[in-house]
Amino acid sequence: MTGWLIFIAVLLVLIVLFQVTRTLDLVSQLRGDDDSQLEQTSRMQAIALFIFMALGVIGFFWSFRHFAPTNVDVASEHGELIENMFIATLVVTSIVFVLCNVLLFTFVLMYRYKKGREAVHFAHSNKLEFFWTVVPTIVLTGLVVFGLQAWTRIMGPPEEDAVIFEMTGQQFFWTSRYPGADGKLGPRDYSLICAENPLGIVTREYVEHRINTLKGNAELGVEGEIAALENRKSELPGLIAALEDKIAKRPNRYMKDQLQEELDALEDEMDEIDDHILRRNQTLDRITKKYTEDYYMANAEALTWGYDDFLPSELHLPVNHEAIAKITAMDVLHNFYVPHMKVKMDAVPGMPTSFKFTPTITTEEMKQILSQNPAWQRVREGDTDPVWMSFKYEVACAELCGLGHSAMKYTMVVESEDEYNTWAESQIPYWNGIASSLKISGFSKAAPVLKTAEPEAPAATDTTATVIAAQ
Amino acid sequence: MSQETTIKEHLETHVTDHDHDHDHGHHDHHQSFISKYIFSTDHKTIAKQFLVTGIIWAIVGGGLSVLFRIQLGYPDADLSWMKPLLGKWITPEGHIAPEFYNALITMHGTILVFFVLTAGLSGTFSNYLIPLMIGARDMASGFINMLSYWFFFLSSVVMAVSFFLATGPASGGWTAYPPLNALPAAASGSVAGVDYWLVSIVLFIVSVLLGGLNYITTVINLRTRGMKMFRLPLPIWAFFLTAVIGLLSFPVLLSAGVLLLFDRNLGTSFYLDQIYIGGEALANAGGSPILYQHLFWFLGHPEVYIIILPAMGIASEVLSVHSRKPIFGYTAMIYSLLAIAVLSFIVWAHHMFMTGMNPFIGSIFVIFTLIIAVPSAVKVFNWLTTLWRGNIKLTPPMMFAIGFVSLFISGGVTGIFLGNSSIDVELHDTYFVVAHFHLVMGVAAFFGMFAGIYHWFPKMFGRHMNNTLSYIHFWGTIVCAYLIFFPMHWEYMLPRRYPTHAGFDTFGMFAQLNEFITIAAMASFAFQLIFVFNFFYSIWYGRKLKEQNPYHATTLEWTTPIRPGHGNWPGDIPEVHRWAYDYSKHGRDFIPQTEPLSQYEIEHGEHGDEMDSDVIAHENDDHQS
Repeated sequence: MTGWLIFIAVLLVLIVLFQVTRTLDLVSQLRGDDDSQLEQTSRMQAIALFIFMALGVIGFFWSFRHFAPTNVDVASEHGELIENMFIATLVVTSIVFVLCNVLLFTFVLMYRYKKGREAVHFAHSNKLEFFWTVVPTIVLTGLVVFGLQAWTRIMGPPEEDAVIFEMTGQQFFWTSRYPGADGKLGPRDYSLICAENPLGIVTREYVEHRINTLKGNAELGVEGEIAALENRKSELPGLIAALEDKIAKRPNRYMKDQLQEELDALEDEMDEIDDHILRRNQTLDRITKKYTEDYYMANAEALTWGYDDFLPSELHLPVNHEAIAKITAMDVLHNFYVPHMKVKMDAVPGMPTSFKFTPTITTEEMKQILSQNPAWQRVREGDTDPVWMSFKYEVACAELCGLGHSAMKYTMVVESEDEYNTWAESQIPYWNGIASSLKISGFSKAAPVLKTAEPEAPAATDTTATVIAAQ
Repeated sequence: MSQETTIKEHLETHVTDHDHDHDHGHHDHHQSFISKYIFSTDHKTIAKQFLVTGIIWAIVGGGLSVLFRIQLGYPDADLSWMKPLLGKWITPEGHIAPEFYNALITMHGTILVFFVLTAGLSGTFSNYLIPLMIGARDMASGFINMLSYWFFFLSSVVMAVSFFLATGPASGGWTAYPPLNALPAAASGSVAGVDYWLVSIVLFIVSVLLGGLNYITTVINLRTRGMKMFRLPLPIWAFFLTAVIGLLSFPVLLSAGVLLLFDRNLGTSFYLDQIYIGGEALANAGGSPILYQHLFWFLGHPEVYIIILPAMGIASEVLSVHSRKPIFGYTAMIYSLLAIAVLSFIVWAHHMFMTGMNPFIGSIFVIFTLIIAVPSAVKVFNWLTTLWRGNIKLTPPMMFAIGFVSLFISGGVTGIFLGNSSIDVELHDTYFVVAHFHLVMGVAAFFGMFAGIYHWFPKMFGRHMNNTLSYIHFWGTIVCAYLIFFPMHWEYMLPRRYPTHAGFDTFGMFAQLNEFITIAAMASFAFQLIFVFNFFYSIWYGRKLKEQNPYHATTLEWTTPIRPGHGNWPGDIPEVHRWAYDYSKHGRDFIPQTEPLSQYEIEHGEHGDEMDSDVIAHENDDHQS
């Protein structure tokens, strides 16, 4: 009711306002003398425009003070470069922005319409035009040169001892991976991805495991995804018929709708099940064709790299030590974005990308910096401490990836070299935790891998071997 | 020589006779409602069709932005009251479902960029002004022109229908990047919405190409006697180059779109490689998502110039007429338009610095991108000098033209940040980008469009718009536009396309600012409704236009009757003797283009030479009827 009253009131006010404007227009018509009317209007509008510009320019400078606390503190080496470029560009563009707007509105005020004033027929001037073609060219050339210098440094090759880590984007989370003691990330193949091997790391055991889980293996008591789907396919018509029968007998409308929904879901499943079977068969086909004995012989060394890789739940990096992020995506485009580090790079399915950076401020130091910042004193809902106290560097996704785009948060800790080393050594390879649950038939097939393993191969491999042997 | 003169004379008599026949033909029979207002081949009617459709789409597209701004400004509010409108897309907690939030931003972008600022702007003013300003009876092909509108209409229908799909409209961004938009499993908008989106865009491209062919042909062939290329009013140059850009770039989007349709429906792998989604690995191999981005932005970047060039042309004309001064640096204005048109094709990858594209390629695009700032700067300085020592009538169109220049400056300078790849590392896909392009090609283009509508409304409908409402509209729009997009630059680390930033401490400090921007956006939308009311009310009830040439302008459209009929001029087409900008010359307020040069008068510019195309134009005069 109040809603309607408000609506009617607003409507009435609008009608009154409109009538007023109409009368104003009519009055000005009746007064005749268009020229002095126009002179008056132009004067009023020109003054208003000038005031608008003046307030705008004041607002522009005021905003620098007001929004200063929202600035992100730069925490990486190349971030400083970007920051300097940004400030240089800001100075140049602010001059242009203020100068042009001031000129624009000042001219409007100075040369507003006056009866009897004669405009000057000034159609062109080569000197002037030459001047304002050349000056922007020179300024922009300067910005291009400095910009490209910075760009080349940012995108240049990484140092040899850079800390390597890998970020994989997926709807809607990140998975990170470190290479472990051997310093090498194990190769990946998206066909091998399964619950036990979420990144599709390639080792001989993972290949066999994936073949078994797809095809099934009676010896190990594994049904196999393809067979499961085939079974489901054969039972679906029966389920659908039963449900249709049920619906026909139901008098209750509400129940009927519910059952109908179930039926629709089953029918959709039926429509799509062939696709799923086909895709699994194709995957199996790709795996069996690619991973032959020849392949294992040729890539024997690379296939050992994956054993000691670990997948932590947050990133750790040493301060003042270059790090290189190897960035990939599984399903759609994502973007590895670390605001404080000024790091941003797309994660593209099928095309690995990378970004190198050197963190310069540890998480603890950053906490101290932020404790002075008014924007970081706010308190999260259901929390008692200001947000800076629990600060961690945040990783976000900066490329639209679907409905969970804004939830792709990951965290990063920057610490001293020692702390980092301690942390890295304490990490348990992913393989150690998963090896015992792999569906593989035994130790013998994994043997060639072990033979070529380096003498100082991580302990992880040995333990796994025992685990598998025990099966 | 004498033989030539005879032929010419012969042709001229022929043209005159023909024109007479033509007029009789049209005065004598009444057109039915359908042939006059619906399937019309008259460029003026088609222009109005584009304009009205554009306005309707602008209300829809703007309305969508209000919806998602409310979600963004009030992430914790209960929005259940939207349920009657959005139905199941409101979650039980009363928020806009993230999936639908993405659909809203996608459709907002698509509608505003393509339907409003391409079809609504170019479609309206190219159609309306080209024949009237160059002195032609109609477009080169009225029928193709009609088709152009109806393809746009069809495309509109398909896009509108997609809103009602059970799985929702396309939700992968207006750029429709694969794989998100290629895989039904990736987003619910990608189940069917993207197919509708692609079909709609394909139809739209057909419309743009048909329209563009017509504009180009008409400008080249149907200029009246004496209307040399370098005597054309600047809007015509702008429309002409816009059509050329469109003709060269839209086909590339067409191929990008068709290949995406193939990937979606025929199992090809142009853009897909090694994808694991929905618990299974797909068989697609060998494609590249980056390929799509190259193809898309090969149109996508020229597209922003397709949007802004007509606005530039209109603003140039309005600034000159209402400050009673010739546009400063006419030739420089044309060459800067040309430079922008050419450069617009070699800057596209600045949208892709952060895609993992080879950084060396990025460097090349940095150079070209910053070069394009030079012609843009030249234009700004020329506009400023046009105002200098003028006698500026601050009528509503002039207010909008001045607003255009201000917004173009304010939005343009931030392009220098974004075009520099090293700074783009920080700014890519943040609200800084949103602020930049909304100011420079969104709001600025709208201001150009409004300047045009207010300026030519009396010509289009024979009536005036309500002045007071027009001023209210101007002030509401410019104040809100700056309040929305200026502080937005401060959100330069805030990623785009997030329905809420609550999950991140780093982004949490903008809640207040986001709310402020949302309020300004709602106000801005309300002010546009004032315009819509004023526009439609004035069509039927506005004060009648009594003067043939109310602004004392020099150009040809004001030599037609107050309500021009089919064929535009009742008698002969006027002949042109000078450029379009003889204002305040020799103590006279203005000298129409149709007035011959007096004995001692020197025509403006060094480009008085006859060009080949002008001779062709003469000879083609007889085709104009």
